Amino acid sequence: MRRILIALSLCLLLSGCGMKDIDKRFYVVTTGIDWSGNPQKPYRISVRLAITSAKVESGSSKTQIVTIDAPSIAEGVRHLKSFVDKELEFGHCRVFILGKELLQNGPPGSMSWFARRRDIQLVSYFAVGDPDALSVLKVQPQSERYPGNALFLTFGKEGTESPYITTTYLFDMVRRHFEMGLDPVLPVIRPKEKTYEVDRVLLMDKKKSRLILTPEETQLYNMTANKATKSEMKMSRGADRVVLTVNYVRSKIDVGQGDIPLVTMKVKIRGFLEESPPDLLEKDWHGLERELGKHFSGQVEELLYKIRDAGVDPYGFGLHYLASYFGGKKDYERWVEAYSKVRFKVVTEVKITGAGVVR
Amino acid sequence: MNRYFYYHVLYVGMINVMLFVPHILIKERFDGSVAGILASILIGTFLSIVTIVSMRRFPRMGLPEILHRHFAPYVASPLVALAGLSWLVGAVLVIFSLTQTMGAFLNPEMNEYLFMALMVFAAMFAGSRSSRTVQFACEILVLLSLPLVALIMFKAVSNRQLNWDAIRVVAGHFRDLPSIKVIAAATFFFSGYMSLMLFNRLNPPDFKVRHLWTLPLLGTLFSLFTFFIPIGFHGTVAVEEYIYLWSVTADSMVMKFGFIQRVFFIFLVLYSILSLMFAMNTFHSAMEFFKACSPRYKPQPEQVPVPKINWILCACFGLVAFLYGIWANDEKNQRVTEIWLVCRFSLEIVTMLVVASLAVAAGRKPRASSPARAASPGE
Repeated sequence: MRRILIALSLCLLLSGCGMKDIDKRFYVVTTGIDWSGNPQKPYRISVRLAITSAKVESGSSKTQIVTIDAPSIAEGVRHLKSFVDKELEFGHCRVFILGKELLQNGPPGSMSWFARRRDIQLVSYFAVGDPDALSVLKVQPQSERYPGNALFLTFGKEGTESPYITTTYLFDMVRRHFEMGLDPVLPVIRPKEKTYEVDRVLLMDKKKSRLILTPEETQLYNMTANKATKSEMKMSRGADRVVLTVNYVRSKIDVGQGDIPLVTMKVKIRGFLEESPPDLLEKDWHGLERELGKHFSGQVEELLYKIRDAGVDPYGFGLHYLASYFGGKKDYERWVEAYSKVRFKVVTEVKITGAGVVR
Repeated sequence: MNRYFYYHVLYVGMINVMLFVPHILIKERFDGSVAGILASILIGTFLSIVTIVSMRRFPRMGLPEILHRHFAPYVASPLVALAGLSWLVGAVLVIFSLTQTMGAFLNPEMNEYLFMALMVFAAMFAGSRSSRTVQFACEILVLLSLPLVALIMFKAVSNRQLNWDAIRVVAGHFRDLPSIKVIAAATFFFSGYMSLMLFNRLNPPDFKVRHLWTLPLLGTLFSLFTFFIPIGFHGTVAVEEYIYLWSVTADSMVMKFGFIQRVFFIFLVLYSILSLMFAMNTFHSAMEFFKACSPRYKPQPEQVPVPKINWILCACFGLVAFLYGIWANDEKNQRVTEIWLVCRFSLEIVTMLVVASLAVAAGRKPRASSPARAASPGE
């Protein structure tokens, strides 16, 4: 008994292990990093801080933004702490926004800051702010129930599920930054009054941004690379418009060997017609399937050539090439040389399940 | 009784994460790790099965009793002490690694020695129990941790972010020759059977480890999982960047609708349990081995209450862990761990050779002298 008492009284020593109470912490909900243009202090770090309140209803989210220019991200964050009255906490910061200009000015040397901080989740979302990150932070969406929630829902696929939105996690970005034959992809956020427009992606090589895809191309990319369902295929047919809602999409990549490798992409799509001229389907069901497939293949091929000419590889063709032939460093060098001349072939197999609930 | 043996196989198969085994393997992923894993599956299976089968000749005896029976005290005692030391170092390394991980991820503001004190205290208390209590505690802890293991495994394999191309690229490098370090690290996945060296004392006289075929299966599963899943998540190149490789891998998984979204915290809970278990078993084994250095020592696996010497020895172990914690840092710890893994591997080979040859010798002398002696180590 006495032994137990001693053990319990020892536990008293363990109280208060440097913990700070929740009301003495500022939760960062979004962090933005911009290029300031000043060579001495190139990084402009802005954090959006949640102001906690008991009310949870749409439009009740209150936030505060603080900004600083600094020579590195770590220094900036350390300095920012002196601008606020509570301890900054990054554990709930799930969205990081990099300014468009920052990515054009080469890789930020201190990007490893994100992966090094133990409290930053490796599953936080990364995106590009267009024109800059700060203006994205400044948006106060009216639908937000609690601070920062709008962007969490956008990228988490818990709220909206759109074929235009690409989700990039921190660990995925780090992986793509280092990987042979696989390059980073980041969604682009554009602020618009009280809401965000997230319908483009930015493609990077290992150093800087190379290409921003249009919304149309973004959807094609998401369908072929990320199996984005709830997407659509569309085609003009004379004066009419045919729109197919896709609820199943799979793609398979095959990289051939040879001096000029041929990349074959097989896409399988299933869906129903959401908009079409009356009786079109009954007249020529298979013909329409084939026509849609051919149209889609053409679009994707065009996109692939465009991506290739920009010198990036977001699909991971290079990695797949190495995986297919168990290649090493030499094979990778060969691939890099050949990539600018690679040819693409896309074969799409469309299956129309019906025309919705009407005939 | 069989299940008690397999509990040891299970937790030792998973604790490698705390001993930098993934890190060592990943560092040489392009030159020999895959071959090393394949080789270690053969080596580990061979070592464990030969040792287990040989131990059948020595019912109710641990390694100290076997050695004392066949060798003079001045040969046997140092060997027993060496085996005990090997266990102890394992415990110290795991305690230090867990302290570092907790310090880095759970609460960096906490004094790390405080956490180490907690851990050492728990290990001291648990390890100083009688062998039977430790055995039962193992069962409870394994049952507690299995659901968490299953969850993390499921989360990892079913993850869409897992890049199978990267895994295939690394798997393709199986032709390079592995270094001894890699083999020593990879055989650790199979080391669970070594607990038999002590816990065989508890087994009934006619005990036989059944389902031996599961040993290679479990070991292969653990090694492939530990090695390839981080590559799938972090790619072939970036995977090298991380020190606490599995911690960050667990952090790369999300539970969208869980109470907490970071799988990472479940991982931390799981590894606290596993580390405590490992520390408990290693403290206990080391303690029993040191006690058994004297040839006159009679093992009493079900003694309650435990003698004072248990407390004293475990307190010494705790002190060693503390001193190590003061001396070591991440880099030193990694080097010591590598050395320990190689030493442990060689000790396993020596143990197998000794036990197997003694078993063969015991088999050759049919009933002439052995029955009288064989009866003595038990009660």
